[in-house]
Amino acid sequence: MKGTYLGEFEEIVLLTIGVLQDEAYGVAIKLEIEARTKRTPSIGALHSALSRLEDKGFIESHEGGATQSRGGRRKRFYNITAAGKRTLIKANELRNELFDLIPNLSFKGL
Amino acid sequence: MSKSTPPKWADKLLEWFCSDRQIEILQGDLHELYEWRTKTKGQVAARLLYVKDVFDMLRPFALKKRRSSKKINGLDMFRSNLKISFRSLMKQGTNSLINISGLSLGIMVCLLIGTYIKHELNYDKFPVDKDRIYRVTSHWADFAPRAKTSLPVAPALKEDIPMIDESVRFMRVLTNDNSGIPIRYKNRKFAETGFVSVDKEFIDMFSIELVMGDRQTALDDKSKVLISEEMARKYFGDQNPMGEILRAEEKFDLIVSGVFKSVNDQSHFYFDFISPLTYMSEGKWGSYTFTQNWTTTFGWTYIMLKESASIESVEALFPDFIERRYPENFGDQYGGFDLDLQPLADIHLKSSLVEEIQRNGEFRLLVQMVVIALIILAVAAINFINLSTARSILRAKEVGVRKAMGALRGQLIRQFLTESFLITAIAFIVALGLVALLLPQFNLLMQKQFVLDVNLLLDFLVFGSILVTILAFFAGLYPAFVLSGFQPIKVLKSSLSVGGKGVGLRKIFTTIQFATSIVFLIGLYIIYDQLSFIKTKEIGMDTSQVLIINRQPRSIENDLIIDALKQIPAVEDVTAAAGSLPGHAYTTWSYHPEGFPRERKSIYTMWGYNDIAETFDFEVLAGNDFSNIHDRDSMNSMILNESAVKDLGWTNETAIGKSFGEFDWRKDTITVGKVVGVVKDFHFESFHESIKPVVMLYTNNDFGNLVVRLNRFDGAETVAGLEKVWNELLPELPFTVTFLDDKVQAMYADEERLRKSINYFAVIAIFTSGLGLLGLVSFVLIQRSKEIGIRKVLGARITALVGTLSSDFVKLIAVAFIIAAPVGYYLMDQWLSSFAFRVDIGIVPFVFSLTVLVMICALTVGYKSFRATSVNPAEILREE
Repeated sequence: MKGTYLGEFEEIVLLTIGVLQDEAYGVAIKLEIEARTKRTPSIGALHSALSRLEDKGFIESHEGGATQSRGGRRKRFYNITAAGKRTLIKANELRNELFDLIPNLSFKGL
Repeated sequence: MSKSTPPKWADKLLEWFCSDRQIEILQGDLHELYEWRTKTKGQVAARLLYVKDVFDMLRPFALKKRRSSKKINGLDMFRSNLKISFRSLMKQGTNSLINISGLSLGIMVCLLIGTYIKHELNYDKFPVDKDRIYRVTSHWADFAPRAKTSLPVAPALKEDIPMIDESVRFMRVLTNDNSGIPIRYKNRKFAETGFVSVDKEFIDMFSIELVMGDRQTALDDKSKVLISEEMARKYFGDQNPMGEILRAEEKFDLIVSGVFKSVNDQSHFYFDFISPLTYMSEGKWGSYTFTQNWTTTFGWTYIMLKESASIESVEALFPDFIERRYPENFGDQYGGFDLDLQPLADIHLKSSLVEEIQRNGEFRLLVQMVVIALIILAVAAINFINLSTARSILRAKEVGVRKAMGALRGQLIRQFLTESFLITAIAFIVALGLVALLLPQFNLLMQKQFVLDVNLLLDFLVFGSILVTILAFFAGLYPAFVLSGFQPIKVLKSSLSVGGKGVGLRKIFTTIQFATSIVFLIGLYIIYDQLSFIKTKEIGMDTSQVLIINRQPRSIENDLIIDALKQIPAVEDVTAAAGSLPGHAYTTWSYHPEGFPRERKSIYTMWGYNDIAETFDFEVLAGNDFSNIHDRDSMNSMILNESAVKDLGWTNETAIGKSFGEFDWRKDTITVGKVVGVVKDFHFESFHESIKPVVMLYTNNDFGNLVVRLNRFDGAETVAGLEKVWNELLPELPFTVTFLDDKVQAMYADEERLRKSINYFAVIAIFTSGLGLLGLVSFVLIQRSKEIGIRKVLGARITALVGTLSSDFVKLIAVAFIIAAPVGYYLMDQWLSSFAFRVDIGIVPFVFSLTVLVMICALTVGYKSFRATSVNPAEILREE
């Protein structure tokens, strides 16, 4: 396993999974990211990130929900695991902490 | 509305590279996206984007994992294979023991021979510029080429030929009799054969390492000498040898100017003392100007070429050089003369010229040893193959079950190969132990000093792992293929048909083993026969109680010491002798016998004093032995042997009184002598040589050896008595004594060594074949146990049963004998043809080899089948 470092794109994917709750599968995640961040990740890049996240133990998956449009193929749904949740919180906290440490002074000039 | 679908080829592509685990989900997502894109962006865009996305999927997570799963599994399988191998090894104790002991003997022989060969190939590798060093040799068309050249050659070559960087001369300093010269430090005195005289550039050219002393000045004076570390210890013990004085030949005081590391054990040279050439030219030879003598070969010449120079370009200049430098028309009377260059690296293994510094190795011998090692290894490998295929019946069920469980053939092959690797590796470890145990014996046999140190062990490990790999692979491959090839259904239904597999091959292999043993046995018998022939054949003298005492020139009057020695009760006769001695034939001299005024005859020459024939026990056929003759005329009397008389066309009687001109090359004069006696032929060379004409010249000179015949020999006491007399008369000279018997035996050292090696090899080959046979027999008996039981029930007697069971093997022996007998005959006839006096091969060796093999087979087969047949048939037959 590659360790538990969380990349920027991975963080967005992880957050999106959290947002989508039970409806988090490939296409849905892609469309959600596109809608919210104005970036268009390729489906390959997204799955690559998902597979990394799964390797790191931040998400887990189960299969189901075949539809007509998919030619009867199943979807793979993703959930955030406890470890994933911890990492998200930690990342968030770290960011806030650092953010709070920036002296107000430097913002005045902006 | 007809549903549009994404491009089929892109889908196919995705399916081809995408892993099974991911394909369904990914393809599903792609299709869903496609539909969504068709709706929002139109079909064309959707199709394009679809293709783009498919290529975008070429990411590690999506790809088929081709290797990784196998890798992990492979390691586990290896572990499992190893475990199974161990179990089957334990289960088949006897078989494993036979396999391992056979293989370890084979590997042991290979390791020992490998050590020897590596040693032999590493001769003369110590000089830094070894690739540029060559030896200059002399070639007369009419004689065998000589390793020596005359002394002025080296400096002249360097002067005349610009491609030559350096040239040095190397001379051995010995007594007239080719024995060691006396070296003394205070009261420590020894006869040293390793005393050499060289040009002072020698130590740089050959990178001789000085432990003490200064390279520049070490050899710049005729009274300086360099000694090896061994000699420093021998003469000076712990004392610092630098500046100490050694007395050489009781004439010269030499200052020790340095100590060098000996190269004797890895060099074609042999030296313990290095003196400058001036020791000879200005010291020992005094007024003689041998360094200006172009016609006689006194020393060895080495040259170092410039880096750019080629050997051919230098050799091309030699004819011109000889024309210019050598005396006019030199060599014409011997059909022409030429100089030649030998690369240093080739000297030890490829050169056996006249006048080598010491006996070199033989490349042919190395090849023979490799062949023998391979044969022994092959015999052991054959055992392994035979036993593995033979016991396949026992493992057929295992193979069947494994296959039924889904094992692939490749996996089974790997499993059996693992097994053969394990066995070979164990055999290797056992072989290492055997080597450690037998190394002293091997050293004795090969006259080397191998020590099992870290270096050698490292060599063994490297060489051993290569050997084990190759051996395990080749020995294991065939059984692995046979065993893994079984059809599970057939095997699991009934196992009887399987054991027959490979029977033909097994018979061929066993025959090869038998044949090898027979060849070795034939060789063994004939070598023994020839050697005992050598030992018992009349050699024309009695060598049993004759001692040779080495004496230094100009040391003492003959009569003085002879009379003193004769006082010892155990001494029967004493005489003085020099030149060619029994076991030591090397001096020829030129003569002008009566009736051959123009012809100069080169005849082996021996100098002797009174009672020479009596002391050596030569039988006098005509005339007299040398006896007290003091008139001037008799001083030049001589005795011939029968061959010399025949060679000259005389008879024993007419020879007496003939005049015989002795040509003295030192003075270029002829001294005329007279034949006073003829003795019966005697062998003073080995039986390889025919008996040659010999002349014995009467001399009262005090050089050479004292020959003492004892009337009884009471061991060390007699020798001590002789030494006591010696020390009273010659206190400053070393007392060195050899037995004539030993000298004569030393001529057959090679044959003796060959006999011992063949002895070992034969025992190993026979033992290994015997082991193989034992394994095979036990297997056959297990297979035929039911048959034996039934035969017994029907009333067969044990003897008849044993006969039936043995008949198969008898056939194999017969075939093996038919193959081996001509091979053995041919090889041994070749060997014997190098002897001028040899035994006839006859029928005995063949009968002997056959008998031994039959006896060994009869013992193994008989013992095993007797045990099998004496079992109560009810025991065997009650099962089923």
